[in-house]
Amino acid sequence: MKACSQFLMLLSPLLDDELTPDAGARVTQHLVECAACAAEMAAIQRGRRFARAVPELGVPPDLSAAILGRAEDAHPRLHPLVPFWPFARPALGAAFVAALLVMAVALWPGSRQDGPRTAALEHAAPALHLAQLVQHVDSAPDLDTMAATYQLRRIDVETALRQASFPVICPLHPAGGDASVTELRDCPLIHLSALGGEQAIVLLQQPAGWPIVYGESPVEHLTLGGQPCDRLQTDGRELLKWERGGTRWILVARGGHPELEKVVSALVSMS
Amino acid sequence: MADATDDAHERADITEPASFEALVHTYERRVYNLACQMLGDREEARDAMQEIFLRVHQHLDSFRFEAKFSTWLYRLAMNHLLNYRRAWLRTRFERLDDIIAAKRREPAAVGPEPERQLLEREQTEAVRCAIAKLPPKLRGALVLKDLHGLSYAEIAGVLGITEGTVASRLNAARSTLARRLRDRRTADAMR
Repeated sequence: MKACSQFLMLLSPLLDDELTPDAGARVTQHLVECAACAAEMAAIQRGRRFARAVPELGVPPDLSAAILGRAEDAHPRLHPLVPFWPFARPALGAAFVAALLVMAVALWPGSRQDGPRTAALEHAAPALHLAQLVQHVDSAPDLDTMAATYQLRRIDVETALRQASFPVICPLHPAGGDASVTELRDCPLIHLSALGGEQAIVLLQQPAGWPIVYGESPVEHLTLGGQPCDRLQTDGRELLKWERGGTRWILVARGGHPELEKVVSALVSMS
Repeated sequence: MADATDDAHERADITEPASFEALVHTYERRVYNLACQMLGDREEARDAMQEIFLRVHQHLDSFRFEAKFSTWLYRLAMNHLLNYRRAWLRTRFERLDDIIAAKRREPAAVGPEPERQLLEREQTEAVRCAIAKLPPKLRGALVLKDLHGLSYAEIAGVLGITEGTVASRLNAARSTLARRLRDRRTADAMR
C-alpha cells in the first residue's frame, strides 16, 4: 500500500480532474480508509471553494486608453533592444551559442585549476549537450516542443537542463533570478550566472554596427586582467567591452565578484 | 478564462497597432485581475498592468507563434508580478489588514446596503486578503488554477515548473487558505 504522502500529492489533481480514472479510484479508496488524508482533502476542498468564490473585478474604464497611449509614446524607444535578441537572427543565435560554449568551458569546475582545455571540455560535456538543445531554441522555444523534437518526455528535458547546471540570470527578465530556457525568449539579453548568487556575467559577441543600448549595474570594482578595455556609459548604465582577435566582446557584470577576473582571464586566453 | 480569441490573436499580426489595441481589450480583464490577485491592491495593479502591457508591446517581436499566446502573456505577466515591489507588499499587507479591521469596526451607517451583502463583501475581502498573503509561489499556482482556470500543464508552462510541483503548490495553497480563513473566523467569533 502506498504511503499517505504519495496520496496527499494527488488530492488536488483528483479535485481538478487531472488524474486517470484508475489513479482517481485508488486515491478515492484511500480517502475512505484514511481519516487523516480525508481531513486534508476536506481542507483542500474548502480552500478551493473559497478561492473560486472570489468574483472577477471590472477593469477601470480609463486603463486601456492609458496603456495604448504609453505604448504609442514608448514605441520609438522600445525597439532598440530587439536587435540584441540573439535568436531573432540565426547567425547571431549561432554566435550566442558559441559564446555559451566559451563560458561553459571557462566556468566549469576544474577548468581554471587544471589549465589544459581538454580537462575543461570533459567537464563541460553536459553543458555541450545543453548547448545543442539551446541551438534549437529558435525553432523549439518551449519544453514541450523540445521534448517532441527530441522524442523525450518533457520532464526529462527539464531535468536535463537543470542538471546541466547552466542557470541563466536575466536582469531585464521580470523573473530576475534563475530562468529556464523556456523563458529565454522574453529576454533581450541573456546573462550567464558565473558562480550563482547575485553575481552574473554575460558575454555576447557584438555584431558590427549594432548600437549598444544596455548595460548592467556599475562595474567599477572590476578589472579585466590587464587586457585593454573600454568603459562605456550608455543609458545611465555602464558596461565593458574589449576586442580580441578582431572580435568585439561585451562583458556585462552585475555585482563585484572576486572570481570574475579569473573568468575573464580564462576567456581571454582561450579567445 | 481562456477563449477562442486566443487563436484569433495567434493568427493576427499582433505587432500592428490596431491588433495591439485589440489585444489589450481582449486580455485587459485577465491581466488586471491577475495583477489584483497577485498584488492585493487595485492601485498597484493599475500600474503593474500598464507595465505588463508595455512589456508585451516591447517583446511582441520575440513571440513566434509556436507557443499559445495566452500562455506567453501569462508567463510574462506572472514573472513581472512576482517581482513587483516585494518590499512594498510586505508593508502593504499589514496595512490591508488594518483597513479591513477598520471597516469591520465601522457602524452600520455606511449606507443602505443590506447586512447580508455587507457580510458577503467583507468575506470576499477576507478571502482576497488571505490569498494575497500566501507565499508568492503558492499564490501564483492558486490564482492561475482557481481564478483563471488554467490546466496543470498550462500552469507548469507559465511558472516553469513540473506538473507535480503545480499539484504540490496547489495542495499547500488551498489548505493554507482554508486554515487561515478558519482561524480568522474563530478570531472574529471571539471578538
